[in-house]
Amino acid sequence: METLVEDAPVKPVRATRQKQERQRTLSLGYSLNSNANFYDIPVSDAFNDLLERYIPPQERPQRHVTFDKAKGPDAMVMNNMWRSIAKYARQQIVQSDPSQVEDILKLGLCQLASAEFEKLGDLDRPELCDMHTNQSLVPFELRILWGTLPSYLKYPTLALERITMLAVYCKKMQLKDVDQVSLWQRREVQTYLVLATHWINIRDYSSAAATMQLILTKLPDHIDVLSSLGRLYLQMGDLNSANRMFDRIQETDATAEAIKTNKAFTLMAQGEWLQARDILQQVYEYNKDNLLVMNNLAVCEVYLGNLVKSIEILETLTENNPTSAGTCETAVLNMCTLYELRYEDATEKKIEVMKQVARWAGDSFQADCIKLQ
Amino acid sequence: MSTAIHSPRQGSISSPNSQTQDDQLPHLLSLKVMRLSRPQLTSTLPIYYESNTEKTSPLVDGLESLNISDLTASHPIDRNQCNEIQIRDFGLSQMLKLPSAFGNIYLGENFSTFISINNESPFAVQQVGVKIELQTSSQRFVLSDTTTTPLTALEPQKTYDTTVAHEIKELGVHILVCSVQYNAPDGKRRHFRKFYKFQVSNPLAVKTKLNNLIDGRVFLEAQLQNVSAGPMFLERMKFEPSEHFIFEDLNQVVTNNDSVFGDSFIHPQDIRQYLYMLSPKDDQNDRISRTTNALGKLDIVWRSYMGDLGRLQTSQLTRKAPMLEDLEVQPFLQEPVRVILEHPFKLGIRVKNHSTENMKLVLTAIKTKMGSVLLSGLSSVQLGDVPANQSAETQLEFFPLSSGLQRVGGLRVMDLLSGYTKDIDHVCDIFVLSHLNDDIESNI
Repeated sequence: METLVEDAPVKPVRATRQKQERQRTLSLGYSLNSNANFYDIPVSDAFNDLLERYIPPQERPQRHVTFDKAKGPDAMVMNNMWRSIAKYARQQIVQSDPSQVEDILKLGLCQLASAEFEKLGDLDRPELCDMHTNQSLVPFELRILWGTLPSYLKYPTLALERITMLAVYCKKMQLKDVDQVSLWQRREVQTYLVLATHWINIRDYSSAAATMQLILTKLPDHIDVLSSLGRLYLQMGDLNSANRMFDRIQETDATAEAIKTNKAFTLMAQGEWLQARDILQQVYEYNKDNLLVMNNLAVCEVYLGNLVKSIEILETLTENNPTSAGTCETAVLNMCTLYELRYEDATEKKIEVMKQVARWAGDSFQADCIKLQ
Repeated sequence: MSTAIHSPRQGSISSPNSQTQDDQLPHLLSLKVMRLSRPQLTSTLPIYYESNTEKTSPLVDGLESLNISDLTASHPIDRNQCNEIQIRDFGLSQMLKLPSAFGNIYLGENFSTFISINNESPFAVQQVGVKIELQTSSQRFVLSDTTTTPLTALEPQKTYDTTVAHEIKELGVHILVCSVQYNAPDGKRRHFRKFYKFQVSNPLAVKTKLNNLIDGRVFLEAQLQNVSAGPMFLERMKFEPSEHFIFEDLNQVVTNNDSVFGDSFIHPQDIRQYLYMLSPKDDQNDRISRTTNALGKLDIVWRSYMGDLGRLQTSQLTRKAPMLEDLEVQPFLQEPVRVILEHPFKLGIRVKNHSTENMKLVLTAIKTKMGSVLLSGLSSVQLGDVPANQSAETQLEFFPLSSGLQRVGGLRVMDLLSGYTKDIDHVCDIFVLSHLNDDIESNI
C-alpha cells in the first residue's frame, strides 16, 4: 500500500517577515505604553508648602494646577501646568513622544525623569530602530534630554560627557544619513550650544567660550553667536574680548537695540552706571515692550543710590506683566532683595509678592527667590 | 531693639551694648546695608526642543509660547537668521541679578556698599547726620560724613540712601561702622551705631623659585595660585624689576608670541608659573646686582564676574643673596663651532677678578678631572696681572675623545699673590658630533 507523504506546506517567506515585524512593533508598543513604565507623579510642591506656612487658608490664592482635560495640552504648557501635562501624557498612548519625560523634567522632578529613562533602557538598542530604514526611532530631543539630565541631578561632568558624545553622534549621522545632512549639521551646532550652556552652569566660562568660538568658526559673524559670546566674555571679566565680539556686529535696523543693550553691559562692567542707565533709558523709550531692559534699568538705579526708584520700576514691571515678569524668578529675587534693604522687616512685603505670584505661577516656579524660609 | 541682629546675608554683625548711647527707647530710624558687588547675568538650563515644520506637537507649541514670554531666555536678534542656529539653547541670559549675599571679600578689591536709613515711625525727624567709617586693624577711614551738613528732615516711611566705596588694602578683620544722629520730634538728640564685621583674605598666593646663574643673571619662577572662591580673569600680570636689573619675559610661545597659557582665565585653586630672566643692568659694574636681595615686584590686575576689578602689587620679591666669588670663569666662542669626534677645537676662557685686590693668575688643567674632553697643549697658562674688576682671556685647545653631550671642565685658576685657588669642574657642555657631515653646531 502506498503511503502519501505530504511535504510540510512552506509558508511564503514574505508573510513570515511581515508577521515578525508586526509582532515586534506590537511588543515595542506595549512595552512603551505599559502603565508600569511610569512612576507616580507627586501631588504637591515646595511653593505650596510656603503658601501654607505664611498665608492663612482664607487668604490663600487659588493656584491653577488642577487637571482640566478640556484645556488641551498646548494651553497647559503655556500656563506651566506641568503636573497636568504629565498626567495627560500618561493617559495618552505613548509612541515615541518625549513629552512625558520632558514634562517631568519641567516639574523639577529630575530623579523621577532619570528613573523613567532607566525604564526606557538603552536608547540605542535594536528594538528602538525602524526595521526598514534602520534608523533610530528615538527622537533627537529625547537623546538631548538623556544627555542633559545628570546636570539637574548635580552630576554636571556626566552631562558634559554625554552631550559631547551626542555631538560626535551628529557628526556620524552626517555621514550615515545622506538625505538629511543639513539637519544633522544644525543639530551638531545646537549640541555645541547645549554644551556651552552646561559649561556656563558650572562656571567654567573659558571652556564655554572655547565652545562658542568653535560655533563661530562654523557660522562666522552670526550676530546671535557674537552677541552671546560677548556677553559671556563680560560675565568672565574679559572686557577686551567682549568688545572685539561686539565690534563685529554690524549696525543695522535689526541690530540697533541689541547693540545698545550690549553697550550698556560693557559700561556696567567698567562701573559706569550713569552712562549705562542712560543708554538703557534710550532703549526703553524706543521699545516699551522690552521688559528685560526695565529689570536692568532697576539694577542700574541701585548702583546709583536710587533705591526707591529701583523698587518702583520692579513693582511696575511685575504688576503690569504678571505672567511674564511677575513669575520670573530673577525679577522677583531682585525685588525681594531690595525689600530687605528698604524695610526693617520685609516679611509683609514678601508675603504680598507670594500672593501675587501664586495666582500666576505654574508648577515649575522656584520659590526660593522670594527669600522666605 | 537697637542691637537687633539682622540676616546673616549681611556678614556677621556685632553690636556691643556698651557703645550705643541711648538704648532706653526704640529708635525711630532703621539702618540697613547691602554690599554692591557686581550684578551677574542669570544662567539657565533651557529645555531642548525642535520646532520643524513637518510635525507639530502641542508640547512644542506650548514651549514656543513659553519661550517668547520668558525674560531669561536667549532670543534671536534678527528672526531672519534663525535657520542656521537657535540661540535659545544658550544658557546665559541678559537678565541682571542683584547680589543677594555678602559673598567673600579679598585684598585688592573695591568694597562698595549701599546704606539705607529708613524712618520707621509715623513722625518726621530732623537734622539727620550719618557717618560711615571703615575700621581695620591699624587704621580708621571715613567713607562718608554728613554730620556737619545734616539732612534737614526725613518724613515718615521715607529713606535716606547713600553709597560708599573703598579700595581694600589690608588683610584681616574690617568693621564698617555706621553712626546715625537725629532729632526726635520731642527735640531730643538721639544717636545710634551699627557695626558690620567682615574678614578680608588673600585672593592670590605667590611663591618664587630662583636660580642664580654664574654670570650674574637670575632665572626667576613666580608661581601664582588663585586661592579665592571664584574664577579670575587676569587682565594684567606684569613684572617690575628692581633698579639693578633688566628682565626678559619668557611667557610667550617663541614662534608666534601668543601667551603660553592660552588664555588669561584662572580657576580657583589653579596655579600658573611665570618665568622671567633677569640680567644685571650694568654689565660692567655688576657687583651690586650680583649681591642684592631685591629682584622686583609683580603688578597684578584681575577682574571677576561682570568686570569686578581687583589690583595687587606684591612686596619686593627677594632672594638670599648669593656669595660673590672672587674669581669667575666663563667660556666664550667667537663664532659657533662644530665639534667633531677626535678633532681638536678652540674654546676661549675669560677669567674675571671680582675682588678688590690685584691678582696674578695661572690657569691649569687637571687631567684626572677632565672627563673625555682633554686639553691639547700646555697644561698651564700664565694669565699675568689681573687688576680688580678686570678680566683676562685666553684660548685653549681641547680634544674630544667621546661623542655626544660632553662636559668641558677640570680647570683650576690660582692667584700667585694670595694663594687663592678655584677649581672649575664644569665650564660648559658641548655636543660632539660623530662625523664630519653631522648637523648640529655647538653654541654656548
